[in-house]
Amino acid sequence: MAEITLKKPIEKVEKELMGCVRCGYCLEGCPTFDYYGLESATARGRLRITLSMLKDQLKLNDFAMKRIFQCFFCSHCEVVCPAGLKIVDALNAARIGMVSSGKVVIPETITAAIQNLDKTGNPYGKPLVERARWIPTNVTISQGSSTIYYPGCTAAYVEQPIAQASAEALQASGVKFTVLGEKEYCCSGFAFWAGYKDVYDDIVEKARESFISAGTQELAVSCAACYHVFNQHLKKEGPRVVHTAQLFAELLDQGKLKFPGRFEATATYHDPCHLGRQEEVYEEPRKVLENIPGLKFVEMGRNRKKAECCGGGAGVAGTAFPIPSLDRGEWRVREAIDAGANAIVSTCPFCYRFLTLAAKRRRLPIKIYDLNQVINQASKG
Amino acid sequence: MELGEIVGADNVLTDEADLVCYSYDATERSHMPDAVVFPRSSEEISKIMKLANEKRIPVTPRGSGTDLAGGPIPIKGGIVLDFNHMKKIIEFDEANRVIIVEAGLTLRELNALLRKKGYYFPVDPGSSPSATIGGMISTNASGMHSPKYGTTGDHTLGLEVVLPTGEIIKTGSRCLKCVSVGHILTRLFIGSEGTLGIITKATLKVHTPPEFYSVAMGSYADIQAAGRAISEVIRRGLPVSAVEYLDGNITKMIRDFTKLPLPDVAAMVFVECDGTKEEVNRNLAIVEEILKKEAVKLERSATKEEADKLWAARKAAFGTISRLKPTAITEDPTIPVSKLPEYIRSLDEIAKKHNITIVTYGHAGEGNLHPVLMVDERNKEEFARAREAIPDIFKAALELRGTITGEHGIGLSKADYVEREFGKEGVDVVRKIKRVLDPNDVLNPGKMGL
Repeated sequence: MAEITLKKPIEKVEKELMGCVRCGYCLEGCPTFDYYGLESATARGRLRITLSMLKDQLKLNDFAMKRIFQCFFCSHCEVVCPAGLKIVDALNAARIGMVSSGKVVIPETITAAIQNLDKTGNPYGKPLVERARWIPTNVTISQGSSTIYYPGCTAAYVEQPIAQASAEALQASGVKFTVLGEKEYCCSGFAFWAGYKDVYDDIVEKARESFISAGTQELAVSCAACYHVFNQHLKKEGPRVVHTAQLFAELLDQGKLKFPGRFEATATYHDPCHLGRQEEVYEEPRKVLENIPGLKFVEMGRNRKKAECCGGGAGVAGTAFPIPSLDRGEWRVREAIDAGANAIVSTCPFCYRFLTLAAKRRRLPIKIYDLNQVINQASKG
Repeated sequence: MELGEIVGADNVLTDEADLVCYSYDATERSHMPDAVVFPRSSEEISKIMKLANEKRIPVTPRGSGTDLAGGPIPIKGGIVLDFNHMKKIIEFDEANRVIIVEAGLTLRELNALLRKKGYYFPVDPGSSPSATIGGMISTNASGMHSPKYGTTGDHTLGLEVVLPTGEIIKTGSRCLKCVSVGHILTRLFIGSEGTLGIITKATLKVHTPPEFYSVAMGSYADIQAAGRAISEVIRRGLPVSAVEYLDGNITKMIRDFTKLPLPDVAAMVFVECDGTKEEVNRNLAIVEEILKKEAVKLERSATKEEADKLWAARKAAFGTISRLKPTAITEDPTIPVSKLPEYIRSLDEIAKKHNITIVTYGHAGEGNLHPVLMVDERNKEEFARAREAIPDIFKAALELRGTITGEHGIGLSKADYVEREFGKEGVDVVRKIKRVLDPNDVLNPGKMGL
C-alpha cells in the first residue's frame, strides 16, 4: 500500500524523469551541489533517485527522503536544463509520494509547521487573533475596497515591518485597499512544497473563496512565494494577482508613486526564486529602485534567471536543513558585497529573513531590506 | 586499513540513495557501486589503490559523469572515486603560460580563473559547464574548436598519476619540450579512460583568447548539400576554428530551448574563423562563398557575444534531444571529411532500414559526427532495433576508412567493436600494458575491451 501511494504521484511525472539525459548542465549553479558536493544533491541525481524508486530499483528510506527534501526548489536547474524538464514538479511529486506513503520520518520542523497550519491557519502556530496586529495606526483600511493587500503569514506575524511599510507606501500612493485580517488564509505554499498536497489543496481553495466572497478585484501581495501560489492557483477564476513590486512600478508610471524623500545606499536587488525564475518578474523591482533618490543601484554577477537562491528553499529546506541554507545565503550576501553594495533589497519576506540571518551570522557589513521598506522611506518627505 | 580510516568516514558514501547517483553517466547504461569515496590527495588515492589490490576491489574514477561511452560506470561494482575534493590550483606560472591543477577542477572553474587574467583553456566539449580536467584528459576530450585547437591532450604537458598498484608517478614536465624517459608517458595516460592510472594533477598550457571571432551559418534544404559544403571548406585548407553540422531535428530542438531564430531547414553548417578582425573578415568571406553555393540562407554573427550565444546553443545540443524521445544513444564515428556526404546518406539509410529516428550533428570539420539514436527504452522492440543499428553505423564508418569513435571514447559502448577496427593483435598490445600496470585488474575493470 505504501508503495502504491509513493508511486502514484511519481507516475504522473515519469516523462520528466525519463527525459533526463544526464548531460550534467544542472550541476552548474545548483546551490545544494555547491554545498554538499554530492551527485545526490543535484537535479540529475534527485531525478534518478525518484526514477529508481518508481522502477523498484531503490527502496524508499529516510536517506532518500532527505536527499529529495534538501533541494531548495530554487529552479535554477530548470533554466539551464536543455531538455526543458519541469524538475521542481517532478521532485515535488516525489515529496508528495513520500509523505503520503507514511514510510519515512519527515523532519520535525516540517511536520510541526504543518500541524500549526492545521490548528492555527499559519505555519508559525500564531493565534489567528494576532493576524491583523501588524496594521499601523496611521494606515486607513478602506473596508469594502475591491483591492486587498495580502501580507502573507511571514510579514503578518514575524517580519511585520515589511507589511507595515507596504501598507504605508500603498496609502502614500493613493491606493485604497482593505485587508482580510482574521479572515485571511495562508497561501499554504509551504504545505505544497513540503509534499502535503491535501493540506495545500484545502487551504488554498479556502483562500480563493475568501477573496471571491470579499468581492476582490485585485490582490496585492508583498510576498514572492504567496504571489507565486496565488498567481498560479487563481489563474482560472479569481482576482487579478499582482506583486507589490509590480503595482508600485505601475504607480510610478502613472505618476502616483512619488519620492519626496531619499534612500541613501548602494543597493543591489536579489531576485527571489518565486518571483524571478518562477514568475519571470525581473524588471519592475529594478525600475522602482533605479528611480529612488539617493539610491545607487548595482547589479550582482548572478542576476535575474541566473540569480542564486537566498537559501530559504521555499521554507522547507530552510527550516529542515538550516546550515546549508545559511551557507548559501552567506554566499549570496558576499556576492552583493563584491558587487559594491551596502544594501540588498528583495521582494520576499523569506529572502529578507534568510539573507538577514546569513549576514548576521558572519557579521557581514551589509543591510537587508524589503523593497516596500525602501519605497516607504523614499515616499516620505 | 578500511576506507574510512584513509579518507575519513564523512568522505565515504554507502547508502543506496547516494550510490544510485554514481551508477550512471550520460549513456543509457548503469551499475551500482558498493561505495563512493571522496579522496583529498594523491596519497589517499595511493592508499585506496593498495587496499583495492589487497582486497581485489574494483575502483572506478569518475569526473562529472558526463561521459558518453560508459567509462565512469562501475560496471563491476566496488568503489567509485569522486574528485570533488580535489579542485586546487597548485600553481599558475603566468610567465610561462602554464597552470598546474588538481584533477577535480572543472573546465568552467579553470576558465573563470584564467579569463580574469586574460587567458583561457581553448578545448570546449559540449559538457564544458561541468566537465572536470581529470575527466577531459582521461577521455582526451575535444569539442567544437578542435579544428584549430585540437584535443585536451594537445595542451597537456605533464601529469601526476597514481598507478593501479598505488605508486605515485610524475610524467612530462612544465616545459614545452620534454624527452621524458624516451616513451612519452603522458600520452600513455591521455585517453586511457582511467584504465591505466588515476590522473590526480595536470600541467596544462594556457592561451590568450582570440581578439575576434565570427560564425558564418549556412542553411540547407538538403543534408548532403551541407555535407558537400563542409568537404569543400576543408579541402580548400582554410584557417577555420570550428566547423559544425546540425540536422533539421537538432536545429529545431536547440531553437525550442534557446529561442534563437534558427531556420526550419534540413541542415545547418556553422563555420567559425578567429584572429584579428581583419583576418576573420577576410577568411570568413571565402568560407561564405563556398557555403552559399547550395545554401538557401546565409547569415553571419556580428559580434563575439552573438557568436558566444550560438556556441552555447550548439553545446547544449545533446541535452536538448530528449525533447524528441526520452532515450538517446549517442555515437561518434569519424570519417575522412571528403566522405561526409556519403556517410550522411548512409546514416539516413540505416535509420530507414531499422525503422528508427537518427538525429545527427557534430564536429564536421574533422568528419566527427554524432548520430543519436532516438528511442524510448520502455518500448523494448524499438530499443532492440536501435541496438541492431549500432553495428551498421560503425561498419559504414569503417568502410569509408573512418574510425568508430572520434572523441567520446570506448568505455563500455564500443568495447565489443574495438577489435573490428584495430584487430585482436592491436588491442592485445594495450591489454598487455594494462596487465603490467594493473596485474589484479582492479582499476576501472571491464572497460575498453581490455
